Amino acid sequence: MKVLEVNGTVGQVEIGGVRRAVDLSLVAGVKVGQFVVVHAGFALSVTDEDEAQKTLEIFAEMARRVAEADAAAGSKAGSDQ
Amino acid sequence: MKYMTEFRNFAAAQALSRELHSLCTGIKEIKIMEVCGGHTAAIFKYGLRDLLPPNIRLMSGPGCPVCVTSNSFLDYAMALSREPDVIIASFGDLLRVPGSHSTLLAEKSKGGDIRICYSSLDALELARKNPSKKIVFLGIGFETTAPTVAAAIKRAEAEGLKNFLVLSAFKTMPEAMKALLQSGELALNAFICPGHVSVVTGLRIYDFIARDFKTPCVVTGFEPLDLLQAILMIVRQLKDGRSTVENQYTRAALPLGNPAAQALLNEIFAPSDVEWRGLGVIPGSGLGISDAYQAFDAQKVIPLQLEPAREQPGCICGSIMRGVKVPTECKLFAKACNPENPKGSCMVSDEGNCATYYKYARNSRTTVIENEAGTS
Ligand code: SF4
Repeated sequence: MKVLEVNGTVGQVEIGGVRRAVDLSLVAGVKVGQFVVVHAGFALSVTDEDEAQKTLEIFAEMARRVAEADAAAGSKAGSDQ
Repeated sequence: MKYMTEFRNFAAAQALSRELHSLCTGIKEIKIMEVCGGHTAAIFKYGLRDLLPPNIRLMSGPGCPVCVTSNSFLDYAMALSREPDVIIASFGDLLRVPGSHSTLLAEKSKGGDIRICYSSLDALELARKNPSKKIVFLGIGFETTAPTVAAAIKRAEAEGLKNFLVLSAFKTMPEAMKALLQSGELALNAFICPGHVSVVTGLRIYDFIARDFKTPCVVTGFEPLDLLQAILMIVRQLKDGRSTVENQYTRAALPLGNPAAQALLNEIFAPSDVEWRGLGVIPGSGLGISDAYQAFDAQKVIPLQLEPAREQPGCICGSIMRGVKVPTECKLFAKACNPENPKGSCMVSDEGNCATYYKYARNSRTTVIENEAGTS
């Protein structure tokens, strides 16, 4: 959920257009624009965007390798797909 | 939606699936338990079982808060709701779970003052507004929910609110995982560890499982690619003959977890023996309210003597919680028992195994992984 407002230890988060009040006392230092994991009205962790990106890069790389392998297999078989 | 849609990419899911198929060719069956009910629900929602090689078997574990709540706890809550000066504050799911003889919902319709809360802070607000009543918050769940309730107790203390009480059945995950391994019923090869529990606790709580039981543990998130990658990490460990704790959910779960939440847990709660549906009493697997905070412990402030609890006839939720049976083996499943008229806890919660099977696995195969270009 994306943090829209921070007022001390309370804030507002948004997911899919729905706004919600959230307690921020367990994630000191969280800033507007960051993403948080929320459970039962409390933010429990701040999403590490670098780590998210790293994970996504692994997936993109795997998908790319598969696409390449398919293309190679396809051209060997004389397919034009 | 950011950090959700990207983790549902179909091409990447196919790539992970292929990698798993090639790694698993010719090896014997691998049994992996996803401990958390949220993971079970995601696995079915996204049709992930269809993407796995046939020799990977996923089994659902005891990580649905409502499901593992014992009937003796429910009976206690219902008995409290009949006390004249008590308001029960509960997460909504719990109201429909049958205890020995009734449900909280039925007690409410008979006049019990039972309110649904989204957060422990709602219950705190009830305590402020109703100074002549005792507000009893029904504390169920794991290391994820317990700190949020600990925070409410801390605030009640700071504000001098003496009418806020908690009936605690909080539980800790690793002891249950150990009990499952020790029972020898399942011959599990690995665990997919609960993501949100780990966000609070960090990864070390699973160390003894990987080390002493030679069982790989991978912490993961709740999107389809998270789960597929976690399974891939497990298969690699097994193929290499390793058993360690690994983290797939690096964007949310830090190795040391959330220290502020842990400090609250340690201050307000103390390890206790607690009853799990299906697993019985597991020593040290509960979070009871510590001696210093007894004034907030509903069981201490309002002690009640109750008859022994009994299980719903025919319901096999207990065996399902242990992973030894699946919902379709229950004679009541999708007949006498359904989400509108649940006979057991596993049919009530969205994270419950029976509810998940009912929703996704009753008749059709479902694969609804979204393309990146899909909803956002
Ligand atoms: S189908 Fe209903 S009665 Fe059967 S195990 Fe599940 S919850 Fe219990």
